[in-house]
Amino acid sequence: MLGKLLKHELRATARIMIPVYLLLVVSACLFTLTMFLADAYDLMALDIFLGILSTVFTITLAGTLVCNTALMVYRFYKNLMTDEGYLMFTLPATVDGLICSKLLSALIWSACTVLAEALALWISARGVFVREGLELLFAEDWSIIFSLFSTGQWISFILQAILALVLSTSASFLLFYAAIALGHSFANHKVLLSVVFYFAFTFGLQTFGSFLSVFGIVYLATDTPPLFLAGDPAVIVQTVLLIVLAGSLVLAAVFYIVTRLLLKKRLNLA
Amino acid sequence: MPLLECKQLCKRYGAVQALNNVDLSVEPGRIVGLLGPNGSGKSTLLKIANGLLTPTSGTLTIDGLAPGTETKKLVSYLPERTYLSRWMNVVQLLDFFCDFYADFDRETAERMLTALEISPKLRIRQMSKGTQEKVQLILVMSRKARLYLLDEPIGGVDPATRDYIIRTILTHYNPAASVILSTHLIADVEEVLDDVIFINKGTVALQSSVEAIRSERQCSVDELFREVFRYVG
Repeated sequence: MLGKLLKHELRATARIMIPVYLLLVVSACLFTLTMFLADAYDLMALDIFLGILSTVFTITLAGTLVCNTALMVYRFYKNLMTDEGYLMFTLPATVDGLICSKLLSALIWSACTVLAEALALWISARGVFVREGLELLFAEDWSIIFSLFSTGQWISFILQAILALVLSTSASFLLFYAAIALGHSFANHKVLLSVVFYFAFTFGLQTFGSFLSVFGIVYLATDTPPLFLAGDPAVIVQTVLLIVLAGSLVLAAVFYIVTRLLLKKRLNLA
Repeated sequence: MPLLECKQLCKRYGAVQALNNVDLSVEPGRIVGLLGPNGSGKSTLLKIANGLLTPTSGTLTIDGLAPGTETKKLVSYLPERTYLSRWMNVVQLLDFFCDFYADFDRETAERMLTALEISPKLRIRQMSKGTQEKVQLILVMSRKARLYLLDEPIGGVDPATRDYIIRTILTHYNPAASVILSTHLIADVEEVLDDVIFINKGTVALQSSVEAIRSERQCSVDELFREVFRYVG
């Protein structure tokens, strides 16, 4: 059942996301092409056009990220909390299936967005001016960074970082879901309350995070020997990764449970 | 075993008691009118039966099971709202129903759509409200479900569409199944009903067969409804 829900969720979101990716790639191609032309011909019109396209490309890059998040949050709201919820919650599917299909779809599109942004940047990197910038960047001596860890450690850290990224992205979407589900459990002002709960959750998390950071730094600095002065970068990276992994997992679990409980016990379709 | 059974079912929204100790049962093969004025608790009862609301106390069972994934396979529900995604066209909706409901009969649905001259390529947002309601009804009635729960299926439509809907319910429901039809437009549905349940302020005021009302009380359901729900003033 999760597969069917995911299939229909991807179909519903693809009609927006695929044109957005096409727009991003087209704007990258136009930007790159204009860079070649501006380099080859010394025309003021081309320089002005390049300036405009550079702005358009930057906006499209940022807009794709915003569109990805906004669409995934809107789908949860529209498909489960409005009239469409009458269909979705009467399907022979579990609440877990409904939440997971939305979350998996959001993660899949987030991964696609990262790839599309990387492709657009790669295309723009073919352009003369960006390429020159990158060449300068790569001219630096990075060998000291690569020599910090063994190959096995690099692989382990990269895999853990990807997992941390997936978990923290999940936690971010689930935070939205929990806020929407909580806001919609009230009789009136559901959307307004959802926004209020989102900001309340975010504020609470930031405050908690700040306290944790301060205490963490104090603890680590007074540890014997202090971790950050101990000198082993692998221990430091591993510790930071474990903290991020555990924190993201706990947050994702808490917001998932809150969303699940609210949709199961306090569903309040208008 | 009753197909749907409520025992001491209560639902409270804050200070409002929407359902109060409701006891009723619906046997298989019956068309039941759930009748009552606006705000009497009809939609709340149907929402609980569909797992969209949880009761405050008491129980509601469908084929002996509490509302959940298994009962949703047995129940075909028409809410009072249009629940179809506006971006979808009719073919996509048929695909959707085929995917999720093993009992969905696509041929029946396509036949009904053709009869009503509804283009399969038409998107929901391109349809009039009446056409949207017809499509929704076609999807719901094209399932070979055990229990059809229809909430105000004739509430906001013109008389011709009303006739079509009633005809559709009569000709397309599975005869071994039961239909619970919630409405306050009694005269329009009276002819098709086997049983009636009068519900008022969250309480069952009467549960009887239409035949018994006519023979014992010598009146129509519509007349009895007006008598039971008469406002004194």
